[in-house]
Amino acid sequence: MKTREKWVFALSFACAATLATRTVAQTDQWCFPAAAISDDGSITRSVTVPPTVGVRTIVGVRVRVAATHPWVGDLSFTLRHPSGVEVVLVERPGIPSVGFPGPWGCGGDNIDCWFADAATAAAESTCSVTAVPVLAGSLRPTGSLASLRGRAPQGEWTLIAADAVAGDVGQLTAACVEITTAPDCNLNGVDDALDIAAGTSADLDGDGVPDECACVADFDGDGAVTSSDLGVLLSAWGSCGGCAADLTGDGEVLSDDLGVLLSAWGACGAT
Amino acid sequence: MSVKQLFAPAADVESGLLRLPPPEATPTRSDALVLIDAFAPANGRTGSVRFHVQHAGGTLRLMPLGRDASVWRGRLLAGESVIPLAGSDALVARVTEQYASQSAFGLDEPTRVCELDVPAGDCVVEFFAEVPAGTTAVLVVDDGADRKDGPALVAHLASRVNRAGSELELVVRGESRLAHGLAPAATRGVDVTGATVTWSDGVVEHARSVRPMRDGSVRVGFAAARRGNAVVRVDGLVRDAGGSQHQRSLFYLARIADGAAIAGHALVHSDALTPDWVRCDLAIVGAVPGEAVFACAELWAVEGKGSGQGDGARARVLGWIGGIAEIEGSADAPFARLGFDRRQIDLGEGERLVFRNVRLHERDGFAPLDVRAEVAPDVRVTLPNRNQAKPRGALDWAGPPGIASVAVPEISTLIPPVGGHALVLSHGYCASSNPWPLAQFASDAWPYANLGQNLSNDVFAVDLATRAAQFKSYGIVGHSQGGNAALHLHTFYWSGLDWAGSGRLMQCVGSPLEGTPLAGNLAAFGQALGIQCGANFDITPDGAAAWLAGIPTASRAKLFTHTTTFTNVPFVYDYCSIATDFFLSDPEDGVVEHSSGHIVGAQDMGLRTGWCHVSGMRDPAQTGDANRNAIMNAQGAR
Repeated sequence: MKTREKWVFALSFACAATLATRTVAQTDQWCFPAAAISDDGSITRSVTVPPTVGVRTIVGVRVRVAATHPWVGDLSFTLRHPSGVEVVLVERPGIPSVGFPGPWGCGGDNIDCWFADAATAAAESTCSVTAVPVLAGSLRPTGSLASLRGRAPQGEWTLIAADAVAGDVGQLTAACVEITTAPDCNLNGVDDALDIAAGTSADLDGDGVPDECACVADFDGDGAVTSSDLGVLLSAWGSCGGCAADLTGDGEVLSDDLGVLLSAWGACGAT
Repeated sequence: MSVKQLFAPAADVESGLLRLPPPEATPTRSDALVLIDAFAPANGRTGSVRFHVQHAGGTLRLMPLGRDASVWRGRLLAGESVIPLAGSDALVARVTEQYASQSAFGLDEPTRVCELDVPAGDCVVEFFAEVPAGTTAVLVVDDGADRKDGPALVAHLASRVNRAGSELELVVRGESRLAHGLAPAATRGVDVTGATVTWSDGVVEHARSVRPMRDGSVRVGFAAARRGNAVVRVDGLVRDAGGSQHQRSLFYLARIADGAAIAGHALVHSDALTPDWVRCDLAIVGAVPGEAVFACAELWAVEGKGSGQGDGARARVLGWIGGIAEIEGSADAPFARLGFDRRQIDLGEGERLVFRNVRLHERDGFAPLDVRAEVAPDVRVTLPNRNQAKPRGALDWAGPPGIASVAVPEISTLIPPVGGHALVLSHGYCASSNPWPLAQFASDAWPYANLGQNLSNDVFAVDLATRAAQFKSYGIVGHSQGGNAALHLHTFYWSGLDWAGSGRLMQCVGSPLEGTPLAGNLAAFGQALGIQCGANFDITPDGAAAWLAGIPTASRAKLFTHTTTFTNVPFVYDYCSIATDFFLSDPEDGVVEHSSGHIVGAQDMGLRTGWCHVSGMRDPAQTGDANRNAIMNAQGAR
């Protein structure tokens, strides 16, 4: 069963409220079905993220794993992106060991934690003889979830849970992948709004869309740069205080603005 | 292996549990014994010994120890009578049953004990023996004095810290112990007639001085020329209250330590990686980085500028820290690092942190290396006040895990991984086999075996953990020193014990937790006779006292102690081993006295009669008690 648990919307930066809807980062949680973890084996559980409208890209991923097991040092969890890229969340915590917790890894009970790149504590080395669940809170995964940034969220996500040692058995009780996506017209893996805020992309017309993506000369908004747009530019020729036809922003509509228009000639996004 | 950083609450300090008791608290005593050795012939086949027995008549017991001792021949000259020993059971001498133990403490030789009814008055008893050429023999004599109240030779070293290169003094006195464990009474004094030191390499030296003191004691001085174990033999005449003299011999096992000493300053700081963890770097002299020691200190808060020791300044104890620590730093500035969670202590406004009763011990043997009354640390960290400190008990007594480790010797045997959770059944000192009947335990029981060894508690514990590392987690059922090793392992190291599930973590039977007199006395015989596994300081009363002074209540509480003793038959001389009975106070199991088989803070599971330490003694071996084994199996943590 595929479950879309909840939707979380977040604004990517303070002034984003003034931007168009398509600049808002969006966080969704997709949960994997619970299952018993095969003793001395592995299981896979999948969830499919459906296609979304517009070009959105992953800008952040966190993964929650909750499992019961009397010896978490037996366990490994790996997240697989629809593209096949895998990120090891934790691989037999405590192994290899330098003294503590011992050759069999962390012997604590149970996991209920979020794997997040930003976490301070590494899941691999977190261990306690008293804490239950022994892996809890926010923990840094073994692999880098940032490696999924810039990829499309759609498709089948897979969680692989493995138990390396026979004897102790456990259950995957809950697991979700939390995917934060944002419009990414230039496909650089970064929210467009963040590109603009950081100066990576220009947004001369202030529409919240990086100029490299926008149809800056489409004055009439028909989705293409045509003769009607040329007419608008020519009618504004000369000194111009902040008019739309001043594509270079120099206060005048001159040949340089004409050059920009001609270079964008045709349907928007065609180049 | 990863070592634990120990913290104990103030109550452990206030109770005295973590302080070294004075040396006179753990003396070695020789009750109503005369020990005569070295009558072995070097060039012929016959050796002889003469000795006096002065008493008002009664039973005299003779126990020859040595190769083929059971077939020795001899005769006794009691007054005008000549009593042949061989085949003498029809005469005055009675040859008792041979319960000298098959393997108690490695004393494998069966022994014949002769009991003689000696007429009243002074008599000369002459014992001739023919023993195999080139062997050493020992004759132990019980002169028949009341062993519960009889005069005894008692000795202890003047100091707990005994370093190589120093002059050592053994304080010897006569003592008449009152019955039922009441306070000892002084005798009329003691005359030391001989004192020698035998080093572990066999070199024998005479005492440098023998000084009678005004209080009736005698101080025997000798030079501690080298580190290691030394057996001090003292022969003396103890005068009882009636003025009669009793010949006594005593063997005292001294541990001469060397190496690190406390420099007198310390640094208290923290680091960003473990912000709650306060590091205490105790400066050391005479140590090499990489060596390991046991270090500990009491934490005190002292008000104002005073010391809190008799100057009116208020001082209160905050807790105790300790642990095995590898010497760090440079060769010029070595230090031992301890630590505690800053939330474990609280300092009031204007109070200073000082260390008191700072101690260093050898890691192997645990002999004290140095003791400092106080060290004032340079504190470079802000310690919490009372409002910031967490309630005690909310934090682990040992932690954080993995913050420090020490190197351990690798064992040569390949131990294939098994996994799972086990109940480890450990033997004890110098065992010739694992004594636990596996059939009385579940299939997850695993018999630890490293046979015929004389190991310190530390080496024993590390070896046990290394071999048991084939399992994910385990509880331990320890026999004899195996119980000491389990407690040592759990206290000082992270191991599979810490991952065991619910249940009794450590259960021990007949463990010399407070030591056994046999560790010194019989070790001396063993060394002379070429049997047994040698002297073991850890399980002497002195060694055990030094060791226990580093074991907090939190660890002790996980130990369940069982003790046993022989069947008490009215009007019959009872014992487990007639050989070891010469050295032990009742009730005992042939190796361990009941009073030493349990420690404060542990779970006392009681004394059971009818069971002895090992097989070959008068009653069955305590490890064969199916009822108790069933309980230990069911209750044991895995």
